[in-house]
Amino acid sequence: MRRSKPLDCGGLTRLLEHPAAHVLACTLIPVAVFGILLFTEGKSVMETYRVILNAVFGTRYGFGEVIVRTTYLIFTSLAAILPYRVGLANAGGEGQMAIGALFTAIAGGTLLRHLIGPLGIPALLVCGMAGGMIWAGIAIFCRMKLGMNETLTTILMNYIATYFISMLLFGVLRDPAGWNYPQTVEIAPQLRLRTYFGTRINAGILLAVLTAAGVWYLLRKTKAGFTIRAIGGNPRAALYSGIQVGKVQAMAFLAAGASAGLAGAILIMGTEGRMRVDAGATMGFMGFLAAGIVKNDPILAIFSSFLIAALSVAGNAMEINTGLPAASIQILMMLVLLTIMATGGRKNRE
Amino acid sequence: MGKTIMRVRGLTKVFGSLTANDHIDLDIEAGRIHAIAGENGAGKSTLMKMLYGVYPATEGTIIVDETPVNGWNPALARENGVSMVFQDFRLIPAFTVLENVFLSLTGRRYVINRKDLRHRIRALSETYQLNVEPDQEVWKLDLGQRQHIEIIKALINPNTRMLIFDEPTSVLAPHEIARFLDMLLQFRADGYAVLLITHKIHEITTVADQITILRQGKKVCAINREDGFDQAAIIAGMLGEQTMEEAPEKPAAREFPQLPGIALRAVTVRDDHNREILQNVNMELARGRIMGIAGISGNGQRELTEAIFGARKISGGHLSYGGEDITHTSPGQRIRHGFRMVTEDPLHDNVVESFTVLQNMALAGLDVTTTHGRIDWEDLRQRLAERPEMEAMKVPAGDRLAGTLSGGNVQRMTFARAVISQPSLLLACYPSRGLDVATVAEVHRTLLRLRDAGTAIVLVSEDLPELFAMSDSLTVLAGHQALGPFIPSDCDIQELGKLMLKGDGGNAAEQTP
Amino acid sequence: MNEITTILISTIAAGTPILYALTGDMIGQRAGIISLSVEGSMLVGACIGFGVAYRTQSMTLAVLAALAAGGLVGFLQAFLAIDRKTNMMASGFVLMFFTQGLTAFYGRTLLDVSFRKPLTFPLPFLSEIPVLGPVLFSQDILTYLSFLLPAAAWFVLTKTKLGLLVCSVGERPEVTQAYGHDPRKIQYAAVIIAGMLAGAGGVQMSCVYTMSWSNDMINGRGFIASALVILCSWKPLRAYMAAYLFGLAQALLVYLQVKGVPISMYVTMMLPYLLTLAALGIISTSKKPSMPEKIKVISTGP
Repeated sequence: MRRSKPLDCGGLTRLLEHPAAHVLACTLIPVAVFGILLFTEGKSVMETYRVILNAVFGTRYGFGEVIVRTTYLIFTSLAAILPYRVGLANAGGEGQMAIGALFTAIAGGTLLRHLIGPLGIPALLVCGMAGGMIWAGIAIFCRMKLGMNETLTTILMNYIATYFISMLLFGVLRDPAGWNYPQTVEIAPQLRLRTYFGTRINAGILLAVLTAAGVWYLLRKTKAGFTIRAIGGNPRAALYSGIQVGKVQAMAFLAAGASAGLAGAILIMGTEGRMRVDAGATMGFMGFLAAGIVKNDPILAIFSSFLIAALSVAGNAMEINTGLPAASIQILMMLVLLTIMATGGRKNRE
Repeated sequence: MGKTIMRVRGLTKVFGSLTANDHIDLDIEAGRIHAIAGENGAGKSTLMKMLYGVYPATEGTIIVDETPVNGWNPALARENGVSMVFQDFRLIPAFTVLENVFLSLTGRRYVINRKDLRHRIRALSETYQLNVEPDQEVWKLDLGQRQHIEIIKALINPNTRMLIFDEPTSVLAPHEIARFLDMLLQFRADGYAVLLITHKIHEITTVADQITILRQGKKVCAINREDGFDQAAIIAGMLGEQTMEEAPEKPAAREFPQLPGIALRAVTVRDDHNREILQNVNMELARGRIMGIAGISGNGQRELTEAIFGARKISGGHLSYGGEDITHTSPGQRIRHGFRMVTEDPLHDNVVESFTVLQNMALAGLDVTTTHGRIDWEDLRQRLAERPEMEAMKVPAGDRLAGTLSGGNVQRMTFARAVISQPSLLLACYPSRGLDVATVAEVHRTLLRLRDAGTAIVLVSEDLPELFAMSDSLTVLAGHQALGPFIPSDCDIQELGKLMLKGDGGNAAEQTP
Repeated sequence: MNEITTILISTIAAGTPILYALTGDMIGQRAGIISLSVEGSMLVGACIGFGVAYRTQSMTLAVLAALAAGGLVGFLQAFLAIDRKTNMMASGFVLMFFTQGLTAFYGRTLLDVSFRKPLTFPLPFLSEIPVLGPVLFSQDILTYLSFLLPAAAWFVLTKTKLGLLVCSVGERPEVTQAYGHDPRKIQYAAVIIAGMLAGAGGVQMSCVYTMSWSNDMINGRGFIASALVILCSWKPLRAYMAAYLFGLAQALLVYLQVKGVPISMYVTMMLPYLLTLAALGIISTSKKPSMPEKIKVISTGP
């Protein structure tokens, strides 16, 4: 359908279509706007940005935290990318990751606690994936069998996951030896991932980068990826060329759940050791945004994940050092994303 | 002779490198029917859209009531009494007739007065014998009825004095056409200026007072009824020097008893609104035979072909392939049986626009090979280059993005893709639509070659001569039924046309409350 | 006041913010745009409205500020979804996070204050009717207005040219354009109105319902409103039913807790989302609702 001309930002838009100008704009505009916000609130702009940079690059621990969060974000961004490529929007990485973490914590603390590491660690990863897949599976079932919009379903499922986990942590799963804190028992020590460099960095980052590369290879080079891209490009044409569109969509969605679940598993095995309320909170949402920033490209998502991880670590530092709420950093993050959405090219689906 | 409502001088429209209209002059007078005749693509629709203000003219002037107009647009046109009945109706299916009419009203009417509007619609319906109930939802109505709503929308505006009809009879069944032409005469008698765009000679010579013939964007000639209409001269004017390609010599069909055939037994198919559009269809699609599907469009052609291909559920009966029941199999499974389909809207149904031509050729065309899971595109490119179909169909270069192709090129690509794998069954919906004469001939040759190699072909077309020339047997879709098979050599076009009507009449009767 | 009256009063109180956002988003969806950003509009409406009310002690200014702020978020959603062709679900989502950050940033000084100006205007005589009086006729202005809102939306959408134009854009924008109207402008207007109404819902929530501001206090109510539009089959008058059903569920749960019925607080908090999910499931399995065509394309694909 044809409509009247969109808001005319003609020359500017054309200038911004140059890749370098675009990257520059998407960095500078948000930083400048956020700076103005800080200034009007009487905060020192330079000091705040110094705190942010220092938090990320200034200390070994800080940088380690960025890498740890990058790990989760790569997985949760893949959880958004795969469904997007088959024409679906999974906004449920948050809930899928949380349920993955819950499954891992339960299994690692009870059923699998006596397994030796080399067996137990893969088994726990599978538990995390299973958790994510179950949560994603409910949403894709609702879509396929009941015709429900998967974006709305997954958003609602995020809230349900949060309260469901809280209910369990304040109830049946509460560690009896945990001084009444709402948390599960700790998973067995041999099931924990080893950390390196005196930080909390673990092998998860390697797994995440490899997974992202694998997804890229799958999409770009293989027949399965060709099928997926055909569905993303024109689902009717895919149907008419004999592709089982629904089945591929369901599988992509389940794979997305597994990816988010892996983030949850690594959260427990690498960093937390046990499930707590709010463990890994917002990592699923942020992954969705990391995917959006790079137009759902799995390789670029590694970098956008790093960027968002850095900003989120910076947000915590900002709260401590400048008294601004940590959520303020979301303004900066979202300004980046909004600038990209508002200036990027129209055609962004494969 | 009536008062001149609109004069057009030197009207020109250029789209990129194409000059769609080249310095056209016209005079449109009240109480006369002015026909604009020309082949498809002669520039008739472009001209009408400029007269109605949809397209701004590249050059030239439109003069209304002796005053040249500026910034001509549809709203201004309606204000000046120019109304258009579009070929693709401007209706919202989810709304009722009354709501659609209300939306079209100009002037300061912000709240619906249903009672008054209902009254006015009924009054117009009676005057011109239109078959329209104000409170019906539009999606339940057939195309003829929808055209009546469009006419009411034009007439309900008290300013209206000039009516533009864009190929109005293309959506009508033949028995409706006669009634429609009567209606045009009634408009003329009531003093309206009527502008009729058509390529059908019969309509022109029946009702027109004046004919303007367009060819390739240029005005060829204008003839008045007083000067007498010469059918041959009109046809010559429309076609120019070009001679019609002779239908290919059709060799006798061969038998392929060893190859599995396709059979439909008591098949029922539902349309998008879940109504049974075809009931109890029985059909044998033998290998090495072309089955032509005739019928007024919208009588289940799309639904039937989709159901045979597996893209639509068969809601009753059975479909078999060589004795095996495949009623509930997916398109993928049927593609593995060698079924291929070119739909009526290939860009929408068959093409991934973000893929290159080469990538599109891999979608149910030739299978891709993989080494270590990796697709070998170079191999596909080479194998395609060896195929004569690619050359014969003039398929565009492999690296072009499908989204940048013209409609004709998309048609070429999808047709070549469907035939390249020697299908067991080819469902070809309007395969020659939008193609030049030479390529149409190539399409016909390819269909015959496939037939003689043992493919069962279902050919859906609106073009009865094409169907008669190509088909070994014909099925007519009408009135929720598949009638036939008929052998083209044993029946004549007139009789088949009547059959198409008979069913359609039943259809219309059923939908009238 | 007896218990039924208490439950009904809290039903209305909990249902009103939803009613605003629901009606707003329904108008937007009728024009073919789903605004998940109503969540963000409610959030800024709640925060800015509360801030203005607290500083100026003027409810009128608070409501105006909330309308403007909510409408601004709606404008951003419209720009992204209509002009930039962004996935409208994703843009709504991003706007939610953006407003979460903004309101956390600007609302940090409002966290410990409360605004307790009496806002109710009991209507003479009517408010003395038993049960119904205190429930329906002893409310604040925003709540009174909300009683009229779906009826007004129903009138406009089904009886006026403007409303039919909005609906036509959600069905066949090319037809709207053929009548000489700009579908884009209509969509912009509808989405901005959706944002403004959601902003009003937000200020009602912070100034009247909770009488305080807390971070992310909308907590998904905007999403629920978007989902409930589907439950209403895009029919404005059903908004009453959907919003107050939601309100009643919340009121009952609070009541049960107060009565000491042993349910986990988290079950209580989870239930609205679960109910919305279940309602969506029921509505989509029963007969196909009269979904605007443009929305159908988004939600169920081709």
